[in-house]
Amino acid sequence: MYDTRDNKIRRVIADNVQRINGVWNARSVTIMNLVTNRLSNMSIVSINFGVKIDPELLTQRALTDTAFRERHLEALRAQAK
Amino acid sequence: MRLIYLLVIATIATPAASQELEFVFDDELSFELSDEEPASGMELSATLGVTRAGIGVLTETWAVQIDAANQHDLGTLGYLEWAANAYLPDLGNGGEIIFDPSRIHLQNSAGDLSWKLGKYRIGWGEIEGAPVLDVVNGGLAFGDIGLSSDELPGQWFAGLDYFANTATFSGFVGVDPDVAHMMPAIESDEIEVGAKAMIPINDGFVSLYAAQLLPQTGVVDLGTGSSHAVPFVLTGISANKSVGNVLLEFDLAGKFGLQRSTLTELSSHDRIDASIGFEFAPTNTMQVTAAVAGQHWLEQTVTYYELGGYVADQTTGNYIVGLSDTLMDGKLSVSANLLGTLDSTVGVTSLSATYSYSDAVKFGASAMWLDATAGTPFESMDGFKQYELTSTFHC
Repeated sequence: MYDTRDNKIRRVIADNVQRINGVWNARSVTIMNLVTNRLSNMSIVSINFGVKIDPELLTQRALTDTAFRERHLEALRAQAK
Repeated sequence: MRLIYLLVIATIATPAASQELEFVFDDELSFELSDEEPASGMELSATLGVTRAGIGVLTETWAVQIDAANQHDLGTLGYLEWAANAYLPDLGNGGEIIFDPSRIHLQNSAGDLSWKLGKYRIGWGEIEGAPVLDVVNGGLAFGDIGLSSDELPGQWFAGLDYFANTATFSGFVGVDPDVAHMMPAIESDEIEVGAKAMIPINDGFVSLYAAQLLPQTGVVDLGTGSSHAVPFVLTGISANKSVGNVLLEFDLAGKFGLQRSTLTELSSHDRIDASIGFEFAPTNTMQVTAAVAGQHWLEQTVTYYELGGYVADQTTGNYIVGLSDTLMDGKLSVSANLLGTLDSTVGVTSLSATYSYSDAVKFGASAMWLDATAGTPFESMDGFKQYELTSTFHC
């Protein structure tokens, strides 16, 4: 990444690249700030793609009905196994 | 917890630019969609606070409060959630610990029905705190809650929700209504019942209400000096609609069978309450709220009085204006609120700030002062000031 004067200010390092359910994904992304010499690392410990989500989970009912919400979350967790 | 690492990195070398730099880890983020159900854990926090409050001479008190909350999966019975706090209001002079189970309820659902039994709060109306439709729970007064807490005390309800295609129909029975009495009270074993229908509209909702409730505060019969809580009937409608980053809100209620006192006796009367307000988000972190509310008695053939012998007006109005923002990447939250009556007989100003030093440690500061005109019900509180500092530790 470069600033408006074309100076290099960030370097992004994608690492631990894996293909999960047909989707390529970098499990570790490191952003190096070349101006302040600081870096941040984003590590994806666990992730799933292609999970089927019932649209009912995204309704207002899920905000107030704990049992309803937990039933849908259990279905999501079962797909991730 | 923020992790600081000193690393000497032999950079991702390209043949053209190989270099050695000393880097400091700014943050380490970890995202996880776990394939295991998250373990249920108790939320536990302790708050130590010092308050200086009073009129003229301020009295300093130290207090400590322990807050706890948890959720339990009871299988086919549903989910049990609870929150409670133990509050020692005057640390220096001993005194007794006040224990308050502010919320405990069992919730479950099947098909389109959901039910909830226990002690919790029911929020009616769009404008929180306005005494138009948000009147199901017990009223709050100075000293009702301890140090800063997200949990306001609930009441005992049995509630049922029916989720139709788009609308939601709700009903409740309040088996032990909480009424605050300022004088010796005539005990009542009345229950409360209510129903609500919430119907979606374009970018908002319209809700209809009907209930039989008890007043949040007892009405004092000035003839006998006793406080009474008699059921009244409420019908109402509320609506909200978002327009860009503004949420418009409206509440309207008719209340039938409310008590008023002359100098000799109580009598039954009807009243119309209404409020209108908005919430505006000028930035991702800032929120501005404003609302006005009014109450109009449909009949005023004789003079009625409030506790203390103050003449009760036929029409009254009040306002609330608030501004809140989060700064420093969410570490610092600040808010300011102004509320009072439209005839300027009472005005309250409150300021507060919370700084999150870490996930485990937070510091808070707040200030509040009240001005009231002589000859009005709040005149005895004129000049009241309160300053508070708190430290909260989360386990």
